[in-house]
Amino acid sequence: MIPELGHYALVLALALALAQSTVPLIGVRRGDAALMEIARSTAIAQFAFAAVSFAALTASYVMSDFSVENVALNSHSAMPLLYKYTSVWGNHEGSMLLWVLILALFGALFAWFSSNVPLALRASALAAQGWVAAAFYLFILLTSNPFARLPAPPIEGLDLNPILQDIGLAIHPPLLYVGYVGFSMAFSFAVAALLIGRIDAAWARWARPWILTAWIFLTLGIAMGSYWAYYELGWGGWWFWDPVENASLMPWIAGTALLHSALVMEKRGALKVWTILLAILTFSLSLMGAFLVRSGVLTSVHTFATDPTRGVFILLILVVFVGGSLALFAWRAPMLKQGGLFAPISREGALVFNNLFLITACATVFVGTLYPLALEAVTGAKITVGAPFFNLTFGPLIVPVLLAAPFGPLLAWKRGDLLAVSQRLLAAAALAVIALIVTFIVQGRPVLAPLGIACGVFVIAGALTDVAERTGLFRTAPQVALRRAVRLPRSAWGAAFGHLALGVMLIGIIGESQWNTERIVAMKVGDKLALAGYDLSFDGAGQRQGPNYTELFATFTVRRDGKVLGVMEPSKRTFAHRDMSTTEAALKTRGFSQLYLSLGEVEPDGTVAVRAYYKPLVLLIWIGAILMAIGGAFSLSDRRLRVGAPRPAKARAKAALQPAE
Amino acid sequence: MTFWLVSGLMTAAAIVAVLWPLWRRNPEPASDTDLVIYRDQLAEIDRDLAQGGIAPAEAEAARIEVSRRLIAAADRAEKAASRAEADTSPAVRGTRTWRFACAAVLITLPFAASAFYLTIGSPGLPGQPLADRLARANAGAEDSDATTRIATLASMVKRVEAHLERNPDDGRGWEVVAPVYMQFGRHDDAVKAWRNAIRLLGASADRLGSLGEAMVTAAGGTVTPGAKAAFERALKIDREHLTASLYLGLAARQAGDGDEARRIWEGMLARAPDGAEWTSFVRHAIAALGDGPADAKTGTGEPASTPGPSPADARTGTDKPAGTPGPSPADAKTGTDKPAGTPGPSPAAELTSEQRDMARGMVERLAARLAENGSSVEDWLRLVRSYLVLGEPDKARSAASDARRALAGDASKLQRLDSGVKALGVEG
Amino acid sequence: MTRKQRRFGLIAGSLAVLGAAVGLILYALTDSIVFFHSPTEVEEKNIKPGTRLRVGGLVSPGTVVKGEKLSVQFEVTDGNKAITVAYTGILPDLFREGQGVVAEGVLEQPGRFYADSVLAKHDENYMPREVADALKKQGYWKDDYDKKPQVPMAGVTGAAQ
Repeated sequence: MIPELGHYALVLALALALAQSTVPLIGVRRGDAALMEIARSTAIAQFAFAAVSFAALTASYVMSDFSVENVALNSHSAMPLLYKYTSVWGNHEGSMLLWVLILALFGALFAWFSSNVPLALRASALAAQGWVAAAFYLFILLTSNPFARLPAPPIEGLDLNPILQDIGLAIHPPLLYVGYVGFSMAFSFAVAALLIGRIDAAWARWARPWILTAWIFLTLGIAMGSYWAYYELGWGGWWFWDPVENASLMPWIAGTALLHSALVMEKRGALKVWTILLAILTFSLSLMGAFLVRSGVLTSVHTFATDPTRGVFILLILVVFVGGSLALFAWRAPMLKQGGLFAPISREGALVFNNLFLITACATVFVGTLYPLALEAVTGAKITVGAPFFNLTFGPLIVPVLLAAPFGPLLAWKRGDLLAVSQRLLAAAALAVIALIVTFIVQGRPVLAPLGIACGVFVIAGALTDVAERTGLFRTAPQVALRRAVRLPRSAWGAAFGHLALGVMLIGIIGESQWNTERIVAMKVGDKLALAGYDLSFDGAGQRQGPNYTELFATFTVRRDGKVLGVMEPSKRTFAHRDMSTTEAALKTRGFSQLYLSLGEVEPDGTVAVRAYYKPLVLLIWIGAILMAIGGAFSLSDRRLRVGAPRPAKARAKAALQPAE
Repeated sequence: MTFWLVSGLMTAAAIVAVLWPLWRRNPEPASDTDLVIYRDQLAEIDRDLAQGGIAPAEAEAARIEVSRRLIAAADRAEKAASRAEADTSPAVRGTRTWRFACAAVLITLPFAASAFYLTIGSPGLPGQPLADRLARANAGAEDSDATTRIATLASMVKRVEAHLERNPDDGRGWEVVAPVYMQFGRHDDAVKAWRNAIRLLGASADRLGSLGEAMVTAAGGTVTPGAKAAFERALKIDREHLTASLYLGLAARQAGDGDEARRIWEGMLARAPDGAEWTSFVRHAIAALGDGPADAKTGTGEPASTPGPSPADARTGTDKPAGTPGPSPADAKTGTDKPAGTPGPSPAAELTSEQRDMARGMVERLAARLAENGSSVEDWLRLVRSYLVLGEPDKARSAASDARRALAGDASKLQRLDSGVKALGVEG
Repeated sequence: MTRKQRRFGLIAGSLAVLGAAVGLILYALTDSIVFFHSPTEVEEKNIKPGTRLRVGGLVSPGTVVKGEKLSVQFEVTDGNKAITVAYTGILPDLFREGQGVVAEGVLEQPGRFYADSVLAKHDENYMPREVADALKKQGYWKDDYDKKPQVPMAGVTGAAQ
């Protein structure tokens, strides 16, 4: 009964999404508030039904109800409970259900917390949200139904793909989906603005929290995915320029650009049309990511199933939404009034600079990802576009963004003084030069490395300079500076954190890619291996039984200068039910660096192939991403983004009114 | 019934959700929301100025800019308000008509959803959590419910598997679990299990015969060289071993050697004790070879009733625990062990009508898919086989000829198809 | 500066960045892409030794020879032609005889390939797409590669599968 109720709830959610996508628009057209309000009640109810549906599928997984085909194909009664939950979205159908659940959640949250948004804008945005939701409900029900049943259920399920049986799976996809789907709010806001034909600074303030939320989650999702690949795939790579990774990177870059341009719009009323276009593009790239992953056009770890009907359906969704919204844009955008003027050297100018380079960099990723597909379609030649391509194109385009990051926040709005700003950044530049010289003397080797480190130091010091300037640190008494720091708008802290994180991440990337040491050797018990100043001795191997796998592990003792630092235990797991094995790497953290061990084949004579890496500063990559997300959270918590929220804000606005009038 | 009750409640909730705003008093459209934001921006400028964040001149310029926006927004709000006052009564009437229209459409939506669900869902089908199934299985073995029996077997398999995990050298355990694997369609596991049993307990004709049969089934009905070797070893131990003889005959037929197949099978009949049930099956198989020269291609065949020990019946038999119990070495000699050898009506008769409908649906989907894209030999053979199982020899024959047409461009595929069709005993 | 001039400046700047990007892309595309070939294509197209490429196909059963220090050698076939691949390092978890594999590296001499990375399928149902296509071309497609995982079905559904 439970799966069938879930199925029915999903159909009802579709019906509500259809209501949500049409009636409110009639309301907007007729100026009828009641019809517009239907957007809210349906959005909330639609979420409730999507949640019921998702809960029903989850229950089927937890109870190992193999009469649900999806459960039979992707679960196993002996799986640990946690993986019974996570395997709900460890497959195509379930992950699409999670996708619509999050979509509905965003709609419901917006419906609930949007009393400060004008009725017509809210109704139109929710209607646009309803279109997207309806399209995906149809997609699920018609091509990827997770509630398909088996009248004669098997005794045992086929188990979840072992690669996916990992805590990383529990975290990575939901975060990523919140990010992807969150940008649907930006899209809906943009479409609503186009439908209503009016857009102003207030729009940016209403839309920004949603964009920020999506961006924070996407940042974390990509970082988690990268860390997961790093320790689960067993070859120590954290970014492969895999098409599916690119599919998540592109919306992230576009979203970052959107975040910055929305800032200009909010403060100065400029870049309106561009912001609208970016909002549409960002969500389009999210949809394209879904298409690339789900259609099986690309095959990779992430492709759960390759099915042409699904591909065609998603392509249809993609064409309708991207084409439709761009057409709407072409038709309505000229009616939007342009806003404030600014000099090229100004905060706005810096943000335009940022947008220009980010979007161009995004375009190179786009080309690199789609070129092989296009070439194969046209000429039949099969090519691989790998890391060298992206390093050559993406790299040079992102460097200017990094170098400009410290300048932006220091420039004044409207008209800035580049010379004065440069002077203020002198200390940061000096630090960077010192870093350059020190790294060159200490490490030497690839010239790129000291340059990169210097660049990272400059970005970090620049971000700190911004905070110091705003609080008057070094110029006033420390207490005054502290008081100012506390009163500093949270969004200023957010920007500082975000930029600082960029520098931290860059240093991590440079450290890992330029100085990493790799050894691949065949070892026997008792053998020793020297790696970047550490001594690893292979003490022994053994076998143990996991809940649904057997595990072969090897024990290594790590020493440095004769002192024992600990034990590392890389292993290989064999999953009998799928006749598959996975590699579990062992990690030993030393400061921001890590030792990394993974096992290869075990020969009959007891020789074990071992991959050993020393990865300097590698943790900074993910620490940077987390700092970036924290920066986003700071901005999100800024009081100003909540302005206009019902009562308390009104009281404050009244108080603030006096000096204005 | 709970299902209908809960789904009814859900439908009602959906209707309430769409109509609720229409019942409710209309909210005051909040028109001054953007004014609030601009006022806040002004306040922010003052704050910045007080903290020394911006120069007084810049603050003044910014204040003017925001004030301009504030005034524009205020104008807009005022205009909107006066417009709303200007058109009252006629608009309200229009509004009412619109609302009724919308309400009417909205009410039908959840019902349309129900109709849609009924076409794609399986409303009556209860959930079958594993724990319940196992509980039911343990509660009473006399319960004739097929699911229950499956569950009993399942719990048994689980126990045996756990046991074998710890004691992989228990040959007896492998021997017990192997036939059950066959019943669950885990043919590859069955092959492994029989291999282990033979390794640990020694080769016997029955074990070798079962191993060969598992290999044949796993290979989708083809007597592979490995399987053939197993049957031949079985015959070395027991010259009259039934399963082995039967499959060696099949092997001969698949190799195109009808004479040899006939010789083997007729030999079986000659040795058969009176009243052995399997004889009629072997007779059918021989008849399927045809009367003429033993080239199978010229055979007339009665594929419907005598598909031979083809994968089709091997599957329906072995996959269906509800049917004949699995081949146990003990009764192999009596000839009743092999579901494939069940004589009489077509295998489909064993199915309940509901199951048959389901199977038919699947077969039709397969046929439709092949009609669109028929490049897979295995799928075509699957289709032919399925028709045989359903007792529709005519359709099987026409599917075979469709397949030939679809694969006409590809000689190697055509060859594979022909040998497959031959093995199934169908002439198209 | 007038508004027009500013706009012109902005457009010119954007075009310059875009132009730079296009230049980079074109340069990178000629320099850093790798073609995929099946063993048959490697021979037919007379690919020069020293060329960097990807080769894919099935690992011919019985050809895997392990040497000293993690060196390994095996044949990759598309059913028609075969090519010997030499590799030093750890093979992926799912590297098996008779299964699909893609190797990236340099063609040393005709028929001999030195790989610096070897990729195998990710799970039992996955086949590198290029390999599948190459095999299809040679008519050697084994159908069970695109077979969906079969639920061990305890009922009649087995009949249609």
